[in-house]
Amino acid sequence: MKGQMFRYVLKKTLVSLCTVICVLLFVFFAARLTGNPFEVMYPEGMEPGQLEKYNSEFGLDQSLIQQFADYMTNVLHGDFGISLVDKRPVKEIFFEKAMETFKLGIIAFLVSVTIGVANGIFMAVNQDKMICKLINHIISALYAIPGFVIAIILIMIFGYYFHLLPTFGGGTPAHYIMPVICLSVGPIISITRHVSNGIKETLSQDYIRTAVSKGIGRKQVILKHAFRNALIPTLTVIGMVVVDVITGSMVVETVFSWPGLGMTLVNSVMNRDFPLIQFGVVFLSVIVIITNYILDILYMIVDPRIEKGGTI
Amino acid sequence: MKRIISHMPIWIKICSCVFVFITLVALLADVLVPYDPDATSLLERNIPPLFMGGTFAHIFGTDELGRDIFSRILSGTRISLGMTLFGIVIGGSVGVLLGLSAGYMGGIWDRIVMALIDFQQSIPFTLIIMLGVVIFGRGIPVLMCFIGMAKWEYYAKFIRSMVLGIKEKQFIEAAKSYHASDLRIIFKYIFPNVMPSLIVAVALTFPSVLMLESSLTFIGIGVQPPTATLGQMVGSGRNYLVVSPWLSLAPAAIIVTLSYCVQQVGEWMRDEMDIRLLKD
Repeated sequence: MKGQMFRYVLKKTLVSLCTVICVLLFVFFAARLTGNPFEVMYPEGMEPGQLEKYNSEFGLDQSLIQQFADYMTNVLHGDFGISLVDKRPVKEIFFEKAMETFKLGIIAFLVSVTIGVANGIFMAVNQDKMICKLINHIISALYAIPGFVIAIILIMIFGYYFHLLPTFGGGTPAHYIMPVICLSVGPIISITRHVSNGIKETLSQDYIRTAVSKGIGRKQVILKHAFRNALIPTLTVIGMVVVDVITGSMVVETVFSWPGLGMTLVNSVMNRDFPLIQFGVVFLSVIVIITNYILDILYMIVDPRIEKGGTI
Repeated sequence: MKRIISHMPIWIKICSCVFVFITLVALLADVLVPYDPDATSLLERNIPPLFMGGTFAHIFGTDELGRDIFSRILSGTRISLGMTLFGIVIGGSVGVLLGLSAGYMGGIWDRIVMALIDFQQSIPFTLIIMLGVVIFGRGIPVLMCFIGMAKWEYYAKFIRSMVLGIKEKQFIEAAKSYHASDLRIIFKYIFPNVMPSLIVAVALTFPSVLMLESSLTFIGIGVQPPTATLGQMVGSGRNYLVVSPWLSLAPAAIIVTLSYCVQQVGEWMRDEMDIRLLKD
């Protein structure tokens, strides 16, 4: 029993590490394929010798293998290079911006998980009532509206028409309201659907009927018996929500001029800023990989059958 | 076909008609556009649409450069729809081939495909698309390929698990017993059984692919101006929300209508055929 658990955790750890290395390799070589960034930054051409000087300064004149070896050594030392545009260490720029995105992201994440799970349970329990059919229609309509359209409609209504909320920048709590709404609409919908489908499915199982016939209350049956089994699909969807929030933040930050990572990354792609893009993709992928790793361990705790089967 | 249509609730019929209508109009965009979508006219800037006090000359109004919004929406819809559909075809083909082969062959190839699926799911793919756009330049074909690649794992995953089920059926055993080749079994016996679910899957992924495409063009990655796509029009119109909100709202309405209609039809088909693998 202990050995199996250990093997499961070890396997998941190795797989996660391999994925991180694959991401590093992939991103590094992809970024090097983009051509020389200085030729993009100076479209009118440069002084003779200037290009060579920059190339040797940033190590772009060495072979790819050599560059990757250097990069990996630096990464392991915690040194992620210097931004080609800002001329400041990538790490510095990043953590400054990441804080802003993290604050936004964590609020959106908590909001969507709370509302999504509560709504999902509510929908599954009262599935035949009118109100739930109504919510269902609203949800499927909202599902068809992309985040940026919601953002624009919110800006028009609350920003320009009622002058209630600030439409760009960060800082005060009021600045959070619209970006958080835009970021959480999509995740709320997917969590609601997952949770309510999961609970509906378990509610139709035989052991639920047994539990009901034993005479324990409805609440008990739902929370103790049904929700625990519906938790597994919920965990899967939480992994997807993290990805949704990260990718959504790029659009939302661009719309609301939020001074965070998403906007920095969009700009760095436009400027072909190698180190920044590399670090961005690696950093965000690692966050997603770690989330999935934690979720995998949680699966095992919620459903001990998984460690025996091995895969899900 | 006739039976399917007569089974449809009225709402689904309306949704399919709207989708077919928009697609037809988009296909005929070249003939239908009243003006060149990229032609500017500085004397006719920011004319409001007809229902907000505009003229019949520009029924959806004009933008900050005097370009006719109606014409731009028509050609933008064609480009957006085209990119989405081709993206789905590319992603679908890759996913179907990998899913079929992985499910049928099993063994080491199956493991490799599953590892690829896991890898795809554990990275934020939008970032990869951004990288790809930088590498190969901003252009419609590039964006189309990358958008297609964003969804292959969805198809691969459900087709693989369907094949695992079909493989054990007796008619496959029968085919094997008279020495049908593997390719024949896959394409003659397994694929037709996967086909209905595949059509539903296409309808179900359509909204998310359309949204991916329009989000990317919205934030300015993707298609170079002056080419109009729906997302790009919403994006460039957002600077004029106070003076001329129709610049953003008109193309946004088309995006929402398209994805809503296809999603409704997709969900109806899924529930009608009761395909449990495609829930969520």
